[in-house]
Amino acid sequence: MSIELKLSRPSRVYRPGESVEGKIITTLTTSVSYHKILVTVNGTVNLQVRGGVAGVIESLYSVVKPLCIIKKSTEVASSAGKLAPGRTEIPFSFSLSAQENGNHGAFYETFHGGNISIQYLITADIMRGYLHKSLSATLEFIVESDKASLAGPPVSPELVRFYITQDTQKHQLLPNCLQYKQVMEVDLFEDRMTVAAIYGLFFFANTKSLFRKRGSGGFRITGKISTECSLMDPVSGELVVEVSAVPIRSIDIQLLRIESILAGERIIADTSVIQTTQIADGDVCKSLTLPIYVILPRLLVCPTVLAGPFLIEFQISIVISFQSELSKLYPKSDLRTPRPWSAMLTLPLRVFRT
Amino acid sequence: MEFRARDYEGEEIAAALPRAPALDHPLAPRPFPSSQSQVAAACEKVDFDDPLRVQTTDIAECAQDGKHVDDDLRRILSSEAGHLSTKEWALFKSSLMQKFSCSNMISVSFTSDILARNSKEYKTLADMHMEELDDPEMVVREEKKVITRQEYVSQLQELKGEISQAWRADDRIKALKLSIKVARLLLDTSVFQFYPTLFVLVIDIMDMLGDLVWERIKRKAEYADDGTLIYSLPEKFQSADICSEAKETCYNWFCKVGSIRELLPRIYLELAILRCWRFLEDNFLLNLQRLAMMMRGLADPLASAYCHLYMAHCARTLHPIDVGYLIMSLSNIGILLQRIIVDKETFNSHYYKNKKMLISLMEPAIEWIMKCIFMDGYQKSGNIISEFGIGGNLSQSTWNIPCISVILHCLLKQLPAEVVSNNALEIAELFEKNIDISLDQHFNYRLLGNKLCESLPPVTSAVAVLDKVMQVISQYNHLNEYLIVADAYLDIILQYSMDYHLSVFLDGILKRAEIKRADEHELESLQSILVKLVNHFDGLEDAFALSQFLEILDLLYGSTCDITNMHILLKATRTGHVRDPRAIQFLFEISQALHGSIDISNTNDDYQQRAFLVSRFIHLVDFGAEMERHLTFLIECRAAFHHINELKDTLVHLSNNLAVKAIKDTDKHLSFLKSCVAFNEVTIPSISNGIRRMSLYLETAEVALFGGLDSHAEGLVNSAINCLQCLNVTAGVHKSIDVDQVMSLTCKTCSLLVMIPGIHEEGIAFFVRSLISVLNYQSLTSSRIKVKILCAVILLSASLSQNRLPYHAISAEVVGNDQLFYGEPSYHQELSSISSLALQNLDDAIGQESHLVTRGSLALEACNCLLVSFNGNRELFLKCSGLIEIAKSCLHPKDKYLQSTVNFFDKFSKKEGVAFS
Repeated sequence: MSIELKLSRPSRVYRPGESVEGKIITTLTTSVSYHKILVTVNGTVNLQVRGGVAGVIESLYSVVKPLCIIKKSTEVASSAGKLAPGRTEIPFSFSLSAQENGNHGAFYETFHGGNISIQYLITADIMRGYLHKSLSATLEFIVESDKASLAGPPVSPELVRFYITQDTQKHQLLPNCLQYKQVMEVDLFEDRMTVAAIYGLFFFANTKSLFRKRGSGGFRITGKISTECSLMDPVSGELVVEVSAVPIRSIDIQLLRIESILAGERIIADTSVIQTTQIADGDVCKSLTLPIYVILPRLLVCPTVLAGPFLIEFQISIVISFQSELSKLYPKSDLRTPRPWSAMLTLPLRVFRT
Repeated sequence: MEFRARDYEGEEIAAALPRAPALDHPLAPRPFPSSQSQVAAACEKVDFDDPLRVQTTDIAECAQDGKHVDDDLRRILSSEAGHLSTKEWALFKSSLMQKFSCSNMISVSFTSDILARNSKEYKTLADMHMEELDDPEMVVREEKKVITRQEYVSQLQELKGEISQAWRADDRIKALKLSIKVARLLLDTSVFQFYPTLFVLVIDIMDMLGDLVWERIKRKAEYADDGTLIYSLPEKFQSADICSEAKETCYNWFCKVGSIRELLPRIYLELAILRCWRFLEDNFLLNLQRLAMMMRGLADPLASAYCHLYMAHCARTLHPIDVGYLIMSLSNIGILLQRIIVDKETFNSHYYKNKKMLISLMEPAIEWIMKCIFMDGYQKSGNIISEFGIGGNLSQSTWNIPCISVILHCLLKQLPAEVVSNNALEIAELFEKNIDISLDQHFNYRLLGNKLCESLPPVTSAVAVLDKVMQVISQYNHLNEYLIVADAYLDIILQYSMDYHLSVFLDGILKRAEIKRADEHELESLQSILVKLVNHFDGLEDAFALSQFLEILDLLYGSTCDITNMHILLKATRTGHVRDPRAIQFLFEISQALHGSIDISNTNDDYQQRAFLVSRFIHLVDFGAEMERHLTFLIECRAAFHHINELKDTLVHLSNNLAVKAIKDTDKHLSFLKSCVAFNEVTIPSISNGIRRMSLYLETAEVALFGGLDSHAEGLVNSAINCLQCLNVTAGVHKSIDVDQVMSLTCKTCSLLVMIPGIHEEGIAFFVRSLISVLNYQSLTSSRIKVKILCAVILLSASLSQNRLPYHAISAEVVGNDQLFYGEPSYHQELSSISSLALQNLDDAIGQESHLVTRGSLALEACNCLLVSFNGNRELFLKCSGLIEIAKSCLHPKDKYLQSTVNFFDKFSKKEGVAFS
């Protein structure tokens, strides 16, 4: 005895305003009489504050009350009846129109995040009176908003220029990454080696190499990247390593999501990595344009939402890792943590649907 | 029985066919048939059209047709291009694996990183708990484990099976995950030499995955969920033909692949499913370009080169029109190469070696990409060349590919020869500007030379190029490099007969060869140079005129020396006669050298060729009037070339030739003639083959008889008969051809005996008797031969009994038997006793023949012989009718030979009816 739901579109993607069509398929060994058959659509925003992100007290109320987007039921068969053994298909349909939605909020796009998930479910129930357990099946369908309902048409998708140098980094870098400055100092005291001793043994050890690479220290990585991106398009851009005194180990593009939830008086924001994409492996050639091409993963990314009770935003982060013995000690370290052997730049990314 | 008296001259006139003078030469071209009837007849005949003799009116049509055909051909070719390249690709892959394979037992070491990954793969086979193995300690430990190549290969094979199994089980995510892991293996380039093999193994799996995905999406596009065909995709479908569901699946695959973190596996996976872009959009060139750009992120030169190679391979399936992405590939590889080259740490010799190794490993990738660029035809190559900066003004060229000599080399390899020859000087200048460690420069110059030989440039530019090349190679100290380049340009030099350049080249070779003995490679080049020289000149004299030729020849040793010598001999023997004593001496020495090395290389073919060449040379030697010297030369040859058996024949023939010439030309020839015959008498016994010995004896006997040396001739004939005796011991083994030869030689002996005067104490009968005894002694000789020879003996005695012999020796000094024994009764008695002996044997011989038809024809032959030889009497009549009876019992009654013989016999018996009765 099984019951199964099938939608008209194999991709299960529907837009607001469209009608969702499908059928309930029952495969029965014996005939089953039913009381009524009910199809329920349920769209919710589930909000959850994980422990650790927020304080202790907030974590007690870890589940914020879910927001309802849509909830409605239709009776496919209003009067009682009987289902024949074998395969039976019962068609149903309902519309996702905003008018019917009434007092509820807008149709947000389906999104599966860490703390926030926006989900649309269809449940079919075959009620069989009080003596029998009702047969039911649930299926998720995906809502993609049409562009008309968007906050606004995209501004011309311009690429933003960026520069990453030792000066743009707020955390401590490897000494070699800062060579540029040191070389300047060496220049000053070049003929007075006694003074150089002030800088300590470490400095001395490096003097030789510094003299050789004078003027070429530090690093400078430039490029451009789109900060507004359609869901169907990849995040694109380009990147050039202009100078790098320390050989580069890897350049990665990280796609981050920021989920903010209004819990009580506070907004609790949590940033997590969706996807990491390496665009350079090893010490790439200097002044060569590397393309940035990141396909946005489905379901994990939705158009940026700035609703009252919750926010879903995205960021793109460019992480440069330098070759260093130190890094081998932390093989599992998160790229987001600032480390002396890495430099990074994070830019907001507005995602929209076209 | 009495011998019949014959009138040979009268009989000849009677039997001769009437002769009439011919008006036309039978082989002269016939005039065209002019009369109408002949034309009509020609038309009626089945037409055997000679395609080369098409009438002129057809040519225009043909040309038009040709154009169509050309178009068709091109279309076919373009459609076949894919197939062709798959075949080539398979070849290329296997060559890649072989070229850089380390032997099976050599262990390959991997850092634990890779091994950990490997063991993970193993666990996936068992259970899916991969995470457990992500033990951080494993990665940190720099432990090196050793795994043999064989193990590695079998592991990958197993993985391949695993992937396809997962796919069949509809677990496509698992298949993809495993494929990603496989692709990640290519991240490790720590073992250079293994990388090409690894590459081939991995892309095998990638290709499989690509095919699976392609088939799946295609199926989605063509079939509905329940398996009914909804739309059959044409071969060249557009993305618009694809239903949205299939597109969705396809896009999903690209999304999945796009989410792979590491760059290299991501690129490989995308390349594997690159074909599927066709489902999504019609213009995929941008994707190719993006992928080529993305590969710039691969810093490891080896990984990058092979990744580009894989792209070139995958892109072929899309049949892109533009090759811009390939050019970009090359430029990326070029930049990486430049980095290797410029890298300062060249001081370390080990590191330097590694670099060379690295570049040599990258070379196949560059070569293949270059091949792909030029694969789509030559029309577009014009642009490509300008892309490389050739053909335009060099100083202003938009050279966007770093000029690395190894890339130049690959480019040059693919360029059509005409293009190269048009831009030869520029290319040579490019070489000069780009000297780096990626390739030994002489290879580039050699390639240029070879290309120029394929399509010769105009003289002026050839001279300029050669000047340049000579300037470059004058700085080479190493003989091998010098030779390689010189060899490549020799053809051009010879073609344009640039004598100055030639002598500079040759001097250069000699100068560098002084330092050390040439090694194997150098010998090969030297050989090639010398052979080219030899083949170029019309005569050997021209080659010898080059002062350096002999000196260079002296540098050679071993088999290359032999080969060169053979070429020289071949050349020398092609020109008719060898008269120059210096040349004779030189060639003689060469032949001696060849002869000396025969034993070492005893391959049959080689020996045959050498023997042929030496014999041919000796054959062509001509001393003119100095015949004594010629004979001395022959004697020298006999001593020098004792290994070559065939040569003795030649020597005997030549000495006979000399003797005949001496007889004809001079008066005082006797002593020379004697020495010639004596030479032969000494030479012939050393020939092992009895039949040849016999024929040579007979030949010499003829010559001796011609010169009037009758006693010599007699001795020689005796030797010939002795040969027959020795021969017969092994007669059973001889082939049928040999048997026929023996027969004809014996018959020839008989005919010679007519001329040889019977001054021997036992007379002429001695030879005949010994012949018959030889026949009887050797029971194995077939009865056919016996009959033939016995007939010959009977005919011989019949002719000797005549008062006037049918022919005489030319020399006046030889007295014929007819004069010698005119009217001598004992002589005639002897002859008739011989003939009766022969007759007796004849009967037995015919009876012995078991084959019926043969027996019949033998009987007829004997009958004819008897009828011609003897006067008619009763005995003869009985004998002949007996023979005819035998023939009748054996042959078909309508057999023509039988009928004509019976007619002959009837005529005979009518004419001489009295005698019979």
